[in-house]
Amino acid sequence: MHSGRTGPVIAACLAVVLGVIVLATFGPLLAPLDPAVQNLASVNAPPSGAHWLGTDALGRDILSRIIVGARTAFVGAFVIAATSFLFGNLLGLLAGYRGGWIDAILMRWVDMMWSIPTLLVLIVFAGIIGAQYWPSVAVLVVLTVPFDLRVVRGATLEQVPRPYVEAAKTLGVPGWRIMLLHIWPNVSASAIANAFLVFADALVVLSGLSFLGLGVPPGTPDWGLMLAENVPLLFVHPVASLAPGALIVLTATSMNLIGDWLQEQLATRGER
Amino acid sequence: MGAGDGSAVVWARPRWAIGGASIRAYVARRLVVLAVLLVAVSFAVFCLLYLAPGNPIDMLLGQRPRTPATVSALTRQYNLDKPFFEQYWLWAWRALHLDFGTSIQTSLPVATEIKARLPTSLFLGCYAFGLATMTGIGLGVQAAVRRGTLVDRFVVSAVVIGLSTPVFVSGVGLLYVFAIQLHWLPAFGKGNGFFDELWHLTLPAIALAVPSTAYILKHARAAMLGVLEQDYIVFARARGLSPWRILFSYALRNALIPVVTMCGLVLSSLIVGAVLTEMTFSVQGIGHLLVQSALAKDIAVIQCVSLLVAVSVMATNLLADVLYLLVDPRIRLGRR
Amino acid sequence: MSASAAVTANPQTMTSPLLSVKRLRIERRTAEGLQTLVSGVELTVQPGETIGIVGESGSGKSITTRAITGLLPPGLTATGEIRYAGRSLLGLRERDWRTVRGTELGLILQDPFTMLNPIMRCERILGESLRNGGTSWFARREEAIRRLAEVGIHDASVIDRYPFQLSGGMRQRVAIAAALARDPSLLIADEPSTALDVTTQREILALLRRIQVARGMSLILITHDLRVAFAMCDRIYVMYAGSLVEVAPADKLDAEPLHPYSNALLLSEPPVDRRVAELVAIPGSVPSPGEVANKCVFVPRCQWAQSACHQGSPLLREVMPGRLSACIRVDEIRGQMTALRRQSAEAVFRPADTTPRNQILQAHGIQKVFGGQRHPVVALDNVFLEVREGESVGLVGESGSGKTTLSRVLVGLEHATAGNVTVGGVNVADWRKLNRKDLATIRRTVQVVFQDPYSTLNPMRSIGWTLAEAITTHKPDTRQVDREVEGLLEAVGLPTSYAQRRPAALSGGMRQRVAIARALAARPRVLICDEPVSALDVSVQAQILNLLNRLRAEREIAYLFITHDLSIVRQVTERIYVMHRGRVVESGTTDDVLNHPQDPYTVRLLASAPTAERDWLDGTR
Repeated sequence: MHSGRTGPVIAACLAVVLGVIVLATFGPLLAPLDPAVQNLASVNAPPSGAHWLGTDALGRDILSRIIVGARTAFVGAFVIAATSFLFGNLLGLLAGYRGGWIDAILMRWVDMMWSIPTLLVLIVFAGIIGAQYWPSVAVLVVLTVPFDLRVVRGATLEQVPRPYVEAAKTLGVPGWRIMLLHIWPNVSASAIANAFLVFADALVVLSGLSFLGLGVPPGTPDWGLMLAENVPLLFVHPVASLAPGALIVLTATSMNLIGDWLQEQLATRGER
Repeated sequence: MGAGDGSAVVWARPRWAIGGASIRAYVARRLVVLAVLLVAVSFAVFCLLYLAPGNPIDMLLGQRPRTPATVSALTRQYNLDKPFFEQYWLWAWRALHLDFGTSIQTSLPVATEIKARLPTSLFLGCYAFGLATMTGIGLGVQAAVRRGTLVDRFVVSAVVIGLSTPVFVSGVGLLYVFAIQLHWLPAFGKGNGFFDELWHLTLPAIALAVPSTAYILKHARAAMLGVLEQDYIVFARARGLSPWRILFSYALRNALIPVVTMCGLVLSSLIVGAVLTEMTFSVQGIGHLLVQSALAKDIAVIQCVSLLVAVSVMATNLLADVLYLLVDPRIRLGRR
Repeated sequence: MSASAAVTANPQTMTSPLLSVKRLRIERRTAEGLQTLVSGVELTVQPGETIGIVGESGSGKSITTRAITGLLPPGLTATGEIRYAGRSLLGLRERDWRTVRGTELGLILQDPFTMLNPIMRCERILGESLRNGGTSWFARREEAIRRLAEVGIHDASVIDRYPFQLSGGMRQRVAIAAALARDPSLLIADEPSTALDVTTQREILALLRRIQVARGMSLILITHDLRVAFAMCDRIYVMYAGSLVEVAPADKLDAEPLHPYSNALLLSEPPVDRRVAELVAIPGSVPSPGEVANKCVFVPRCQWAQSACHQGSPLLREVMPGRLSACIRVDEIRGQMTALRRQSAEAVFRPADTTPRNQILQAHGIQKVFGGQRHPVVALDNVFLEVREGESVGLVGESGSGKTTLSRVLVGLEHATAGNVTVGGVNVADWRKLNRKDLATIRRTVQVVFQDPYSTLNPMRSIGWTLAEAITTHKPDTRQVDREVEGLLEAVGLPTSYAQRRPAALSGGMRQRVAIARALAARPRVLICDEPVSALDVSVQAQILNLLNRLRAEREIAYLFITHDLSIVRQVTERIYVMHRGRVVESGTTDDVLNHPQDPYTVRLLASAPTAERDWLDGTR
């Protein structure tokens, strides 16, 4: 009933995400100019034929930097979403199905991470060991797994008392089979949808870290860092910082919408 | 027939009598847990000094020259010559008296730095919290009541965009539109006096409130939709009660119960947002201080701010849970 | 009561009915267009009269009452004519509805557990509905207490409780008091007792009838249970698939139904007082109104259907004074319907061979305590039970009696606090310590059929997948799994092509058949059936009971049949255990226990089982 209306919107979202994936993979080949080359002869230039989106304070081509910057935006978020999807699902199934001490321990972890301000942990972390991209991604995985775990555990707990699970138990179907072949297909809708929300969240957090100068090293083309670097140009050349900002919002929104849409699509699979 | 034997009960109105004792016991238990957690967190925060690569002395020295005199002064000040756990004990004891050492950036006591910035951050936070709860709940309820209409669809789309818009992007956007293009509101600075401060912090507060508003709105709408489908709403309508009574004392009261439990999450999103907002708008608050300290590896300040945030998050969670207990009789009196 | 029954003997000649509904049609707007849920409903209610609307799930009886009260869910629209005391209700604005609802029309819903605002005390729930309770808080409180007494709650402290602190029956009483607070002249009760236990059900129905008589109020009772309708109502409207098929005075309908559906419905109700040779089941399942548009709604399941029945949807017409039927062939088949009823009443059940055999399932001194040390709840208290080869044993009790917990203990889904279980010669004291071989023996000995047909099958897996898994789990080296799957489907009376289908494409009855097939895959010697038919419509319930009886004869399986319904236990078991509050209070052969109950609880349970007699409800508070 909804699909008719959301069709074009979802198509646009998929196009955006596909575009970002292409940029993240082939960015350096697609960029018209070298994103690192400084041209002090034309700094803070407004958009022109040579520089479609103008140049920044060091004369670097903004369009090229945006294209290449897709990589740090996408890759880290992808690694976080995929890793925590894997661990969150396995541990969530285990906690929900087995219960007992496994569940108790995992839930303590979830409780502890639940209301921790993620970005703040990353700032403190960066403040102590220095600003580095991949270690921050690793910390973020530890902070994110509980979100997947909680969703999967909750959905699993709903399935466990259902007769089809109990019938499988009484038949003597092994536990791993019940978890992976019986329960998981029924909780996968929320789990997959959640992975997209986690991706959007990780994207926002990582670019926030870069915005603060605590993510990617200085000079790296990255959307968050570009936004921060080019704020002083707002008066003369607003596109320089608004464009990378808009891309962050666009990518995150697309991911969120695709997640919601998938949830709706997948959740009704059993009804057809 | 029942009125006769009922009149004795007419005056006996147990309000809180049943739940009072259990609430106190619950809060006491939670406070104990809070205390234990606090010790654990403070220990972790203390350990930050040792997690850093290199020598603690070098960390604490910062840019100052390394001379035997400065080294011995720092060793004495932070008890670095004592055994590890005694160091922690002495550090915790001093932290309890709000002594966190000195900042390597300004050479001022950390507590002084914090005290100077805390009011601004609190002001900004409360401002944004007020905006977020009022618009979030207000619009969420509106959208749920008008489910499926244009208003609802617009609000739902706005929620998705709001949730995906980081504070620094909306901040820069707001700056560009309202301060640079329209000149309606000041771009930077803090202002003097309450109203001037309110004026100056309006743009930052709006930027800060965007994700929390979206979050509250999303949950308030969902909770309200769930409640509106309940049998007790149909039954209330079937009894001819007024729509206003049904909306407020039936739907809204039941819908807000789950929303209360989100306080902890909203606070943590506000804290994260505040750091980014303060950096975007150059507001001299705690978040600004934290980022500067992280960039300068000013460990004493980082420790103090971490502890401050941890305590406020834990306290808010406790408060939210107690509030939940108070507003929901099913939890308070124990389901049969 | 008898007076009002006489007055309404012929509704056509009556003047000024309190409520009249004409040509009511309810439609849902979907992406594919309008979908009809109810069509052509006509009904009248005279002052002081009780009418019943009887139908299975999906018959449209509930939304008809929602349309009458203007409370249709969003997306549903009603057309036609609804008049209350001469005033047209359809198209009334929300503001005007407030002068009708509560004051003229009262409505109570099915589920007392969700009907009351969970965060309001009973005093406020009643107080806010009272119009003339007085302006002062004290007067309103006094009035609320008086109103509670009217519905049989004499403990005035109830007024300070929240709904969740009350039992289901108490909640339903409070709801009735709230619905009556503004003294409506017509009360609509939508399955008011279905969600309650049998003994509570009788009390609530008796209360409704007492209040109806005392107030001289009109009552519309919606129910799926013909016996309840016979005991409560003056006139009965039978609905099927969104249409009315028959309207008749209660006693006349009971004596001779004039529509094949009413006739079949009456026949498929298992009697509580005797065992029949075979229940008369209606084949197939209830269609959606869309599937039977432009023909007689009962055509797909009617044994008398002819080509004429497929041409246009028949209208209700008066076939006898005061009796309406939608069957166009009623005059021709009347004799055959009567013959069918007589045949069913006269067929005698021949008891099976009852020589004692080996015991295969035994519970010995089972104790089960839930909750922690501080608030222990004893679910099972020193329970003994045994099942011998090939026999069918009933386990009867209301919700909370511990019957389901016991069945879960027997198969290891729940671990007993004390006592042990012997399954197929394996003595189980601790399930966790069993070796693989013993566990396999237990799985081969006992299997379970669960209550809820809608979640008994994995919604993501096809029927074939589910059955194949059951087969290979039982025998990993099975060669022709597909052949076995087909064999199982045939055994439970399903086409083999269903192996490709997902559960969502099956009706409740079909799903329950698949669940039985799955349990049979392990070739068990005992089948525990935990309320296998209680979620099914009456017309389908009889099919499943017949299937179970047939399978037993074919495969010599023993049953442990768990149910709250005494009439069902009469049809399928030889021996029963009656459970109450975690204890077995009585046991013996089914005939002995049900004909000569000894324990006071069994006596009360038997008295609560609905019968069509009008005096069934007498003698309760």
